[in-house]
Amino acid sequence: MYFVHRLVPVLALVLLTGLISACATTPVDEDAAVPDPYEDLNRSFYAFNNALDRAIIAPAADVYVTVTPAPVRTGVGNFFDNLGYPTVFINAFLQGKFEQAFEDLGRFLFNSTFGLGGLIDFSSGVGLERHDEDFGQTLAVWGFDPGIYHDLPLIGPKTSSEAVAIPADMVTDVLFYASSSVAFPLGLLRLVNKRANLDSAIKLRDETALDPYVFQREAYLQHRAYLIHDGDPPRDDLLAMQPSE
Amino acid sequence: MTHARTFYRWHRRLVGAGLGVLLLGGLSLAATGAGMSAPASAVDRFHATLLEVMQNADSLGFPGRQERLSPVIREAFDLPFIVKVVLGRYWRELPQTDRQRIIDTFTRLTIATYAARFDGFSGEAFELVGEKPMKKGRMRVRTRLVRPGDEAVQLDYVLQEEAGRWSIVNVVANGVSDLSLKRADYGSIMKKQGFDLLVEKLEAQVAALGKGGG
Repeated sequence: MYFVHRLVPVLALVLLTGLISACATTPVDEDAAVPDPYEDLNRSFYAFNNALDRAIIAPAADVYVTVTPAPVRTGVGNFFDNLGYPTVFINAFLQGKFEQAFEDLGRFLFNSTFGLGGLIDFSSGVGLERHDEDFGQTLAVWGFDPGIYHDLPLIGPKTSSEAVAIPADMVTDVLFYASSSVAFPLGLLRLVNKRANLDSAIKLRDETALDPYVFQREAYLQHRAYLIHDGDPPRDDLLAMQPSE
Repeated sequence: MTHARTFYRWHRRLVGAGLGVLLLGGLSLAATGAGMSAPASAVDRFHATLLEVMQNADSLGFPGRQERLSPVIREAFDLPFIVKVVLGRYWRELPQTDRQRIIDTFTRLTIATYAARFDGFSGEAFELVGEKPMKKGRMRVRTRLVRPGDEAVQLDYVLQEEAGRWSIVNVVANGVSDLSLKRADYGSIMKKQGFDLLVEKLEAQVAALGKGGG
């Protein structure tokens, strides 16, 4: 099948993550808010990603925002959200969230048809709200989440269960099955649109954080816990851990 | 579990707690308006001030917003407690003068941050979603910031009571705890560069916010 060749870079990435896991790690920082055994390596990939972002991706996103009116950008965002939505209902099923999974399937079908191929978010208007599920969350729900943090080149922050899940998420993405001549430009557009949407979060990080790498790691891991527990994480009460006042 | 189901479960607990308070003398219920609990009222008052500042953002300007927010933030948040939690084990080793210094810097930074962020109004609204009691008598008040044309932000506040007054000790936006973020961030600087440099960087942030404001 012609898309098999795309699995090669993905498998290489999974192998890389595995090799990283096998490599010597930084000594465990007991004071760290979360264990980050690969901190040194993560920091170097973080610096690489930032440099790449500043040089190429952010400027491209700026041009995109300048050239594209907001409603069109919304349409583009909706289109790509919809292309990636099979991942959501498949993983909702895998996690046993059957009611949600049927709603999500409905959302995908309505948006693809009444929403004109996903350009219009018809489903939100009829009460089928957007959910966020992926195979990394499924693995975590199944109990396979050592909770180790990786900041990967080009890909950015991922927990170890997410990194392992990358091939599975790719295979449930509609764009994966398109021919290269279609998938490549669409993939670029998706990247630039996503970067434009992340702009305020990245600016917030750069303005607020004293140590942006740590800030990103902490924010990312908390956000993953929020997604895995669907907005209701069992809080390990930071305040309850304090010595008596 | 849907948010609606969870909220009604909390609502029942809240009614039970409310009846308990009534039996004990009910002063706190009498003090709040519209049947809201004391911690929810504290959050509601804070949101009302934020909305007022947002709606008058341009006429106030950054200095005006800072001035308006300063007493409100000092009262709504227990900033010395927050700084203590943020610095974690480093707090114990700090002399009183340094403690006072960083509390002062952090207070001005918090005020400046809110004044810089809430610099306009485009139809935003805060909605009270529910409450959940936590350990050590603390309360988690769940709210939502609704923005037209944008996704709502789940905004949870953790409050604790001292001498009859409820104050905010943590803000959790879409599951991301501000206290945890700052603890990791400031802790990293404390560990690698020390206290003086931490304060210097925070002061630099205050100055940058002041320059960027308008």
